[in-house]
Amino acid sequence: MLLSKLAIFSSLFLFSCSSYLIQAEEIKPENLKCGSSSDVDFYKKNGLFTLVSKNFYNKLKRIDSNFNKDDFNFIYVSNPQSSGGYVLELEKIIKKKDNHQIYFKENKPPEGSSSIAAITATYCFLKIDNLDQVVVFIK
Amino acid sequence: MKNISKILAILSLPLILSACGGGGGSGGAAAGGVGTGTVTNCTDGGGSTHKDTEYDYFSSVYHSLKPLTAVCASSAYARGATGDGIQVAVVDTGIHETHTDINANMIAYTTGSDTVNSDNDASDDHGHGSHVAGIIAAEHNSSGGHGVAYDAEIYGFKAFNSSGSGTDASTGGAFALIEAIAAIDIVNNSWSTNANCTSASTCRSAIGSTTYDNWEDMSQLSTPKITVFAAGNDSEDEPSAECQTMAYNTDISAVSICVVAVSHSSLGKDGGFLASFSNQCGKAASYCMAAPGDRLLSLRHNSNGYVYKNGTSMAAPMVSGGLALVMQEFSSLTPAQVVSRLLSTANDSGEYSQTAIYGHGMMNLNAATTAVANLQTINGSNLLDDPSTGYNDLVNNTFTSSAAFSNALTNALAGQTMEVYDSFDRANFETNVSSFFTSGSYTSQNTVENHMARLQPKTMEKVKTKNLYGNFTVETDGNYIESSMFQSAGDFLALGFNQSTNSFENAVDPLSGFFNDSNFGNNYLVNPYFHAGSGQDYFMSFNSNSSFGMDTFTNANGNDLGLAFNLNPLSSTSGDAKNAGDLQIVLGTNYEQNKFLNSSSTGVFATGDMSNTNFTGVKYKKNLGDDFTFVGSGFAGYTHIDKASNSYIDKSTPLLTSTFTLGLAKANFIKKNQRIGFFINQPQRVEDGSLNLRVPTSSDRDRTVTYSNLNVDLEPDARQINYDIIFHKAVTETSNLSANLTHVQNGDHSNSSKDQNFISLFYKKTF
Repeated sequence: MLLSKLAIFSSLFLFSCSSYLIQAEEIKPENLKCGSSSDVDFYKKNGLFTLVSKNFYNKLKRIDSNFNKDDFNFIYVSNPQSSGGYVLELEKIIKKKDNHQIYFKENKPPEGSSSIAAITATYCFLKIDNLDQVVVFIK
Repeated sequence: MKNISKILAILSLPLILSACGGGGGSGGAAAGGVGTGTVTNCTDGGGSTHKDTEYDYFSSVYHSLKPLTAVCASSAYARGATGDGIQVAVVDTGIHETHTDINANMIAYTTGSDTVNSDNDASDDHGHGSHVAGIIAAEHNSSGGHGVAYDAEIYGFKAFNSSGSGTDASTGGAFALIEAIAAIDIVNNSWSTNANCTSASTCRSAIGSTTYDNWEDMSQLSTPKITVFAAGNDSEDEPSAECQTMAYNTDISAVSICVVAVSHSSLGKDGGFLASFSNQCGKAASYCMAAPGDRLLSLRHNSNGYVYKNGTSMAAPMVSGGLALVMQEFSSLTPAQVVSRLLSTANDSGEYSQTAIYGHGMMNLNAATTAVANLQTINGSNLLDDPSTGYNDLVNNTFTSSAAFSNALTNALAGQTMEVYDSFDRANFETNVSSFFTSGSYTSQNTVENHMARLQPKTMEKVKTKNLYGNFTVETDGNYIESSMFQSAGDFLALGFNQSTNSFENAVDPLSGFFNDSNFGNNYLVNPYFHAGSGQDYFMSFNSNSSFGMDTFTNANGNDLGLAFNLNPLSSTSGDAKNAGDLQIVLGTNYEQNKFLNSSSTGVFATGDMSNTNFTGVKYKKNLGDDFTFVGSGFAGYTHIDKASNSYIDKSTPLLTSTFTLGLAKANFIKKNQRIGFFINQPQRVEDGSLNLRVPTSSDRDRTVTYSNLNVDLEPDARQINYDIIFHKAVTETSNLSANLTHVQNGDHSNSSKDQNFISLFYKKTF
């Protein structure tokens, strides 16, 4: 934990002038929640959502009714897939001068595996300090 | 903050475009004509439109669940099918087993039921499995909707992780556990492997050897498990590898169904066509059907709430639930026959006639729980499929009971059921035993028509011809010969045709003449064991010196053969005619073919060729002065019912029956030309005896039938007494007036019968 804090601090220091990098593993576990959902009303409007988004709070609650607005300030919901088994991973966040660049990676189900046969979307909830404008990259 | 929103809006477009492919809901119409036909469902076996309205007792819940209306579930519910007693395994992401809308239907997790984490806790950490389980068996209670088979029980197995991904080890491991649990009937698999295969071996490779082998093992059990698989959501012409496997493994295909999804939300509006995301049945068409899978509401996994989901994942449990209903409804069907029935009864008309897309068509639970072919009775065999087992169409099984015991029979059969079988697959249907029985009635003798007949003076013209041996009498009505009798003088000899009475009434009974030669009294005074009425009855009577006689009786059908010896120790013809009495003592026997006490039956209720009644009776008439005549008769019989082979009428104790009549008649009543009579009569009634019906009441998946005994005490719960007053007045030589009042107490020997009164007036003038 100490090491993690140190890494975050270092990143902030290194990129303080123009940009700095936050690796996924540096995010506190309570500030990152990724998963998948087959809830039609959750994924029907997908993309990225912040606290100002109309559907932000609703999406939060659809995943877990215990979540509060204070828990996260950014949600990304992927385009729905034909089955389960997809996994969305946060790779890194780059804080630029006037925005946050958030990099996700969506992994397909493992080769030869079976998957639940419901239309499913992956998602990640994030709490990012001093969240600015956001750009999301998916690979 | 506004700037952030603007940028989000701008950035959202490339984000969506850059998302990975395979998106659900955007597949469009699949090749092969999806959406080109018309869609109807809920058709009965005859194909006529059947509106799904039988389920009005909880309509507000039911009709909010569009998928249930789309598959005509209410018709199955109306027939009592709820999934009760059927156990369904859900191999999925686990189940929210404490959800208040399914917890009562959950079986406790079995050891090792979480094959992902190798533990015993198959709780749901994704939500998919809870949703699937709810579609099958969410409870019918005050909260939310309910599953297709809302009384079925659910075994939960967690073979998919929180991302919805499973391995050959996890799914195969779940199958191994299920194989070992005999109670599990159906295995729902709302998951798939997106791969093609072209043989059993390539399919085995595609879905994993452990999964394949254990699935095959489940299918080869003596009581195999039915497996249901989702076809997958890739909008492709071919279904998942699991569904394709059904095309290459006959053991598996015999008890498996692949399910494609239709968009139920558009039923009746846009057509209920294949959902845009759903794969088609393709090469698995012979083992494939359609069910609603688009926007189904079911259980949430992390609260007691509900959530909508899309996919063939949702269509598969609709079919698993449907199978549970059919399986419960028809305990005689093997698992393979349950599958066959659901597939065979699917709606394959219009849009659903496209086999490559919909396989057998849209699931129809009305048709699946209705007779596909003729319903038939089984001929007493315990084995449904034995070559020697015979079946009869329902119309060929009847029992028309005598009013002597019909009341007792009706009471005893109330609420009693038996099984009959669909000739399509011998699916067992329950029917009321009483549906085969028709009750005879005595009160019909008192209809206005019969009253009139009783009062109406005979129009027959008696033609008497003297010959060497005596008189030959022919009675005609118009051009029709109603009866004829050769009657000797002195030592009495009568040969009769179509006589409704015997020698005593014909030759001796002065009442006939007393009531203007009418038929009055005949029904009360004749021998009740000689069942005339066919219109072509034959009998012979011999009477020697009025002290000894013999009657024989048969009818044209040869069904009855009777013989009675009559002793006449007193006779008015041999003494003081004014005050003498007539006494006749009767001893006789009667044989009835395929009936007893004039109760006829056919098919599985048939009786043997030789049911026999031994009877005795006494008849007495005495003049009490010039004008008064007393008459009385009483009969008692002892009936042995002959058992027919393969009949449900099994054993019986002999039936003791009785009949009696007492009467008083007065001529010159007030005036010379007036007559009156008063009679009390009890029609034939069973005083003691019982009948044992052995009817099929249950059948098992091993195709054996169990019979139950239904012992029926045939003594009615009351005694019918008729009170008759008859008045006759000769107004002129060519006209007369008659009146008949009958009061019937406990009609048909039933204490629930209201007293009945019949009044008839008759006036006749001859021009």
